[in-house]
Amino acid sequence: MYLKLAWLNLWRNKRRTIIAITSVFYAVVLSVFMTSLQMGTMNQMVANVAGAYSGYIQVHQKGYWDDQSLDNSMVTNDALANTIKQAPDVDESVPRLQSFALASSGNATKGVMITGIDPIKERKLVNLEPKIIRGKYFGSDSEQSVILASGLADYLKLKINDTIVFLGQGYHGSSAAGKYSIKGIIKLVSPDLNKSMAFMPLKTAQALFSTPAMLSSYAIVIKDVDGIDRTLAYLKKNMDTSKYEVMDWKQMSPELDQAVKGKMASGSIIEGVLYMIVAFGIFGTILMMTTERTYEFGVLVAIGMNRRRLALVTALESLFMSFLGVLIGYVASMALVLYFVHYPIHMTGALAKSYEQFGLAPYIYTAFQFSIFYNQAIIVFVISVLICLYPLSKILKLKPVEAMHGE
Amino acid sequence: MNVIDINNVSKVYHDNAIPVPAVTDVTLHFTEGEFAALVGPSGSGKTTLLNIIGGLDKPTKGEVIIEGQNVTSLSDSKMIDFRLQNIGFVFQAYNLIPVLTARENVEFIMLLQKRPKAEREKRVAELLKEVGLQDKMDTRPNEMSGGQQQRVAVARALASKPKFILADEPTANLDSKSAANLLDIMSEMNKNENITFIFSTHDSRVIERAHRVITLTDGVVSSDVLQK
Repeated sequence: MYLKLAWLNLWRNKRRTIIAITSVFYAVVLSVFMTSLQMGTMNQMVANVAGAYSGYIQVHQKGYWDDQSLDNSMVTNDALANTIKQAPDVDESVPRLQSFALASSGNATKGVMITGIDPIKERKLVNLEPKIIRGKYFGSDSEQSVILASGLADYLKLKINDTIVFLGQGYHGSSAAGKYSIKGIIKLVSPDLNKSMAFMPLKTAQALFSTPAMLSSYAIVIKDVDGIDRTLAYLKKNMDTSKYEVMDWKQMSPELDQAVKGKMASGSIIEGVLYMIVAFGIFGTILMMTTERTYEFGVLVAIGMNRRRLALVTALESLFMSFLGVLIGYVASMALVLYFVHYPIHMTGALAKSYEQFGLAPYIYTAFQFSIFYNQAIIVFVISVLICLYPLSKILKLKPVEAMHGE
Repeated sequence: MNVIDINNVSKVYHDNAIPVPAVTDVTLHFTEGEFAALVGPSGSGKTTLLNIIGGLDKPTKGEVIIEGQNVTSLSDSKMIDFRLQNIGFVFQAYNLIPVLTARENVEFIMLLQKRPKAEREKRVAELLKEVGLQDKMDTRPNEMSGGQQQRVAVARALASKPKFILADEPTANLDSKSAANLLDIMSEMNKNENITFIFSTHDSRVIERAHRVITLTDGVVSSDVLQK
């Protein structure tokens, strides 16, 4: 009957209960949405750089990262490739050869980053094919063609089947020069990359730079982003670290790591403020409920209901209320977050430009991670349960005569 | 044997540190089966005395002994349990639990006493029949008249099989017919089942029906009269 009494009591003052449930509901929705936006933005920042270009982990010849020249590139090595493949959570190791060159067409020239890619394996990382806005993807790993980022193609005024000339320095000071037809033009999300990237098949790039069978890096595609540390530890343990270096995205992009940490810290402060606002909202309702029912509590103690049982019924009411608010909020926030996962908020104007300056797409994304939903739901539930300790403390100290006299 | 012994009980409240005596040196004894009324004007101390008898308030001085047990020395939590097992309450404002039906309100006390379900159901049916509400068992308080609610309150007070019932102005909110009906029921229970009733009242209808009328004036017993 205590459960029934608590449930029925909950609906005695529908308006009050709905206000309380709504407070909890908004608390869950707002905290989930805020955290999801924060995580989404961070994930996007990392994904823009690591997930969609560099890979979350890279393996290089030792010393390459500090001096990124072709002279520090490594010889293709089956044993190394196998070690990488056997590491936990590794989906693919994508071989690349990268170097700078001067790109020229007509009277226009521009410094570009040339990336030689394995057309098949690269599908799992940069995956150029869906980004192609004109032309086609590579048909083989040795064809004499390039795919240009659209910003670069526009700058050089190049179209499909036009010819581009690259001039640069190859392995050990040799000259690197070649002309290639434009096979495709892609649109990259990061505006900086979109203005400077050129891709060619790996063997074509190795021929251009006189580095046959050599690579700048293995960019590693992992199945579970949360498992980076596991993969990293395996590789460090099983590779010859006197010859090779293994780096995760945090080491390769420390500025990005700092930005992520900064964003998390500021997000935590905002979340804290939000929790306080929500806590006061719920507390107000609970305070109102306690004051309104003090007389009744007095009567119940007078007729012989001991305070612990009364506290139990009141606690059950609060639990029902919090649980309902959390449950509805949980479902609603899932729907809300899911909507923005599919339709991210598109920014315009100065805000969009500031995002682009940082090399980010002008979108605010939300992250759909179950951990966000249940973490926030648990936090709000705990807050509301803690607040409900107030009526319990009042009940445990209640004097029936004073309560019935409204003292 | 006395059911209640009130020995030299005084209660002093403090209003901004100024002592305000509510009852002074009251000594009364109630035997089983009494139908007694504590009367007096507002502020005479009758509700305070009723609260002290019921263990809702503690006297500043003196003691209350219920069937040999000195209840003034009981802790708060033991007193709550003592009330549950020994004392029935009827309030002026009925004070039923609004979300429960008549049946559930009466059953609630027995549930607190942890009585078996079959016993609860049997007694609820008997009591509601006794107070003439067998057809209102599944009705909620807000769907009943004041008189009906007060009859449920009497049934609730009796449900725990208490040693006596304390009724604070039970007819104050009732019309004449409902008040008469309620008094008939309580009278019958007193006569047939020897249940002790102690009222605090200034309702002449209750005073007329009481067998014993104790008058309080400024917290002091000014008269204690037995009447037919």
